[in-house]
Amino acid sequence: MNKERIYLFLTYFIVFLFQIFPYSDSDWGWHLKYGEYFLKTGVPLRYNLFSWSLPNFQWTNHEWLYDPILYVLYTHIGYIGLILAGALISFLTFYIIIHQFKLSYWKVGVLGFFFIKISEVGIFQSFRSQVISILIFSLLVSILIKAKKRMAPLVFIPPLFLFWANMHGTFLLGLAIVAIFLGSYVLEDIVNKKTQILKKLSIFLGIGLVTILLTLVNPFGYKIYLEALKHSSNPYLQNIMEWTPIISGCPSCHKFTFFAYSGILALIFIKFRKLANLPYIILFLFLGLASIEMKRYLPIFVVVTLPILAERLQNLKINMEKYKSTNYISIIIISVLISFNFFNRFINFNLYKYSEADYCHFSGDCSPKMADYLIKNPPSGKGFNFYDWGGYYIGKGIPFKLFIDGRMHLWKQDDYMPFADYVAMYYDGDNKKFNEYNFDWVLVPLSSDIGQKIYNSDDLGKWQIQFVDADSIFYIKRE
Amino acid sequence: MKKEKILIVIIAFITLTLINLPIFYFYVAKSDNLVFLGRRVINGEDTYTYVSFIEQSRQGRNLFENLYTTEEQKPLLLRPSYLFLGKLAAILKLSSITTYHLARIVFSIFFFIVIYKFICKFFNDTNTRLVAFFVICLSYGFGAINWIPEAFTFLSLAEAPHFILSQILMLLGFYFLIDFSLISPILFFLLSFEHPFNILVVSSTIIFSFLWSRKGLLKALIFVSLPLAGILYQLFEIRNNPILASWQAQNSTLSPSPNDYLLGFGILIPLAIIGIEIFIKKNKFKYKLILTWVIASIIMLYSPTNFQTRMIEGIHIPISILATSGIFVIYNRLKKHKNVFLFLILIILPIWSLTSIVKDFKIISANQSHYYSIDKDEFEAISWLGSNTNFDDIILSNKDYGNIIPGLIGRKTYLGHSIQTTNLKFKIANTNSFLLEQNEFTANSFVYFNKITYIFLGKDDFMLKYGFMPEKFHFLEKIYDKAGVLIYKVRQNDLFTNQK
Repeated sequence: MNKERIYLFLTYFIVFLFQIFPYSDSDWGWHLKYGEYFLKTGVPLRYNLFSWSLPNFQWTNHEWLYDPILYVLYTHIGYIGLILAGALISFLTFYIIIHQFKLSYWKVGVLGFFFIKISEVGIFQSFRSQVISILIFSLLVSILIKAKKRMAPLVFIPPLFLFWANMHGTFLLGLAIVAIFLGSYVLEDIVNKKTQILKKLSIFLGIGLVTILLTLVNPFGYKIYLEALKHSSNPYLQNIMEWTPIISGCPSCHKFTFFAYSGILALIFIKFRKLANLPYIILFLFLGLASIEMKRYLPIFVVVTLPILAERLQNLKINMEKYKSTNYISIIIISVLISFNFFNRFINFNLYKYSEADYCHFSGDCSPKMADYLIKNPPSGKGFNFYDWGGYYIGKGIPFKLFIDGRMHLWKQDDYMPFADYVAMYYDGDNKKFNEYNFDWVLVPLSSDIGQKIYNSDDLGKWQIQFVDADSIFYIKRE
Repeated sequence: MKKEKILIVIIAFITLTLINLPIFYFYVAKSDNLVFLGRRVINGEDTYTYVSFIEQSRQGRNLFENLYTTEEQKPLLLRPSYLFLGKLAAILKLSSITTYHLARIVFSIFFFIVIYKFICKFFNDTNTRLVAFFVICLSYGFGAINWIPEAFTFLSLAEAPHFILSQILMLLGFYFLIDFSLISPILFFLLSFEHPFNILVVSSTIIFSFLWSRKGLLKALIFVSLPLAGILYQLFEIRNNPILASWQAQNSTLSPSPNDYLLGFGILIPLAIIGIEIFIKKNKFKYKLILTWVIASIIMLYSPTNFQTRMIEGIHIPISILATSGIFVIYNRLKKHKNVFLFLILIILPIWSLTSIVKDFKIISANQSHYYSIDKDEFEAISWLGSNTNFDDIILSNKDYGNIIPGLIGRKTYLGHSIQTTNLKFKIANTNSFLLEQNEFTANSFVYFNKITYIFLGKDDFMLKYGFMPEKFHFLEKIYDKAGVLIYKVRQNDLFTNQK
């Protein structure tokens, strides 16, 4: 094994280490229960068993296939299993998109830096359906790049979408990417006056048609499209962290790195003007602007555009070996980054003894003590709860129904939308609406406006504290 | 040569003046009813912990205790420099805080001499030596890690005397190591008592530089054995002293991310990278020593310890030496504007050092009456407490007074420091309960079991604002009441005697 290969291996290893994050998906619990239901009954759960606000709502769960995977991983290897699965998937995302280029270790390091920083906002909660969908984007772009030279890899696209349509609603964006790439290839052939354009076009259209048909093979049929489209037009999504702009207080967005990376790509597009870059330019503009508006697009943006930078670096001729200091500096950087992860970053994440309490700490301060209390002392009636905690308490199996949880941000029936009311009550301080509901109990963060308002005034009725711990408070309405 | 030395003295004088300007200014410009406490913004909470060692020695003790915690403890030989400074303060009849600052200034002057000698080992050219001296004394990055003052020479010289002394010992140790003199391990042995953390960096540097230069592992072990013995003594003391162990455990200083360090050192890093190429090519032990020093420190910054940031002390020196080398690589390659480049670099590098001074002025001016200064009446009351209590007395006060009392009068406080007060959070919670306690027996139990003998209340004290009403407790006797400053003495277990 030569030095270059050792360094390359270590560079990839460092990228893998940086993909390790504490598992902190606040939707963990309902995914777990949906997975459990599927594995016990053999059919996806269509009904709402966990909240009282829309009891008869039938939800198109566009990520239903993820739930049994999470259930199996969690029940067999716990949080550590989810953490490692998340890291492995994110690492594979990077590896798949990069390994097709001939790059020395330091070039992989440069690409790894941008990937680690810009994708962080999408992967910092570890194993989620979104993380799997980012891997699928990587596979898709890799296939589309290969398909430029020979069409054989295109046969993988329909089965990929069959899986994707059952895994996450972002498959719709995947279809758009396929159209942009294949359309650009055809346009390039027309401009270059190549032969057999019609044949190529018909193959592309055939593959496109088969792909679209296969996306309909899911438990919810065409409704999966409607569910995915709902996400593009819902104004209430601005109250969910991952749908907010990157400028809105987001330490994991790494704005400066994103803008620096975008600047480098823009320079490449300007300096190396060629038609072959067309699909990347379209996606760069579309996804770049989308990422500024909605941070959840950042990882997709970097995955889709990374090949442009990789290609440039591949063509860049710099002989680092001629510098005697290269080895010395490489050893420092590699040693520091490995030890930083093992002896600093993972310690801050408490990964070596990650527990449910740590999950709660990183996932909006839910409370295992509160969960134990609620299981032993379930309240009666209908109550109000903090949106981010819904998933956790469902997963803990509390024996009563909640007002709201992470599934419900788009749920609407007969013009009634609990999430809209939640936003009005929790974020906008609508006391009137809160009082109209006549809740029997309230489960919120101690420091929240509602938590403090109930504690300090009678504006929201008369309540008594039933249980309180460091971060959460549980009130029961006084008779 | 004479001109060079004059310029070196000028740079050293400017550095020393800039560093000490806020301290001088606030001592002179304080208002009549305030006493400036002589601490600065960065690490201000630690200043009086160091002064408390000088004060203990000044009062005649030869072994030190942690005065910020009240549990039983065995006195120890910690930081011998403070033992010496305390004795000196007693002879010269100086206050401990004055001795602390004078020692800082005197050690800084020694540091300048040592650093100049050290630079001379690496650069023959006068201009390069001057630039290297300037860069070491004044350069700074972009402020990302200004909460770790020992990362930069400029901030270190503004810190406690033992920080400066430990860097002097480190530099002298390496200076003699270049010639393989056996004075080197003796200096490192002394260093192991002043700042034991540095020995981990020093030992790794020695071992790896010897191996890299094919000088033999055995030789390296001869040089590291003595300082490691010093470390073993410290480890033995920690194992046998629960207070020291708890202090050590609470003193968790994990490193920030590598990004912060890169921003922290700013343009010194790219300049040093250029310098590395030059030093590697020279292929001599002394150059390898500098390179190994850098690599050992950087790797130790993420070592499996809970005191990672402590390893950074001194790293600024080899980085600055490498950066100077890098500056002259660029300088020599430039065909035009050479002097403009040099001028710009020498302007840019110290900018953040100056901002740290400005920050001191701004923050201390804005908080004149609190934390950085105390009321003259309060100062008098604390002095009175010093004259009317003995070493075994324990004083309860709010945390701000609890932080300065050990340094001002050498008495223990129940709570006073985030790290040195064992179980601080628990003690704060207990104190808060005590302050609002209605039951005399419960309140008396608190002071009895914590061996508290005095309660100090400043003007408009936080504890009174919180709801503490000392006059309602019979076990407290008011023994000092002047200009709103109150001192209560705990009566000898009246309640417990009565209960029996």
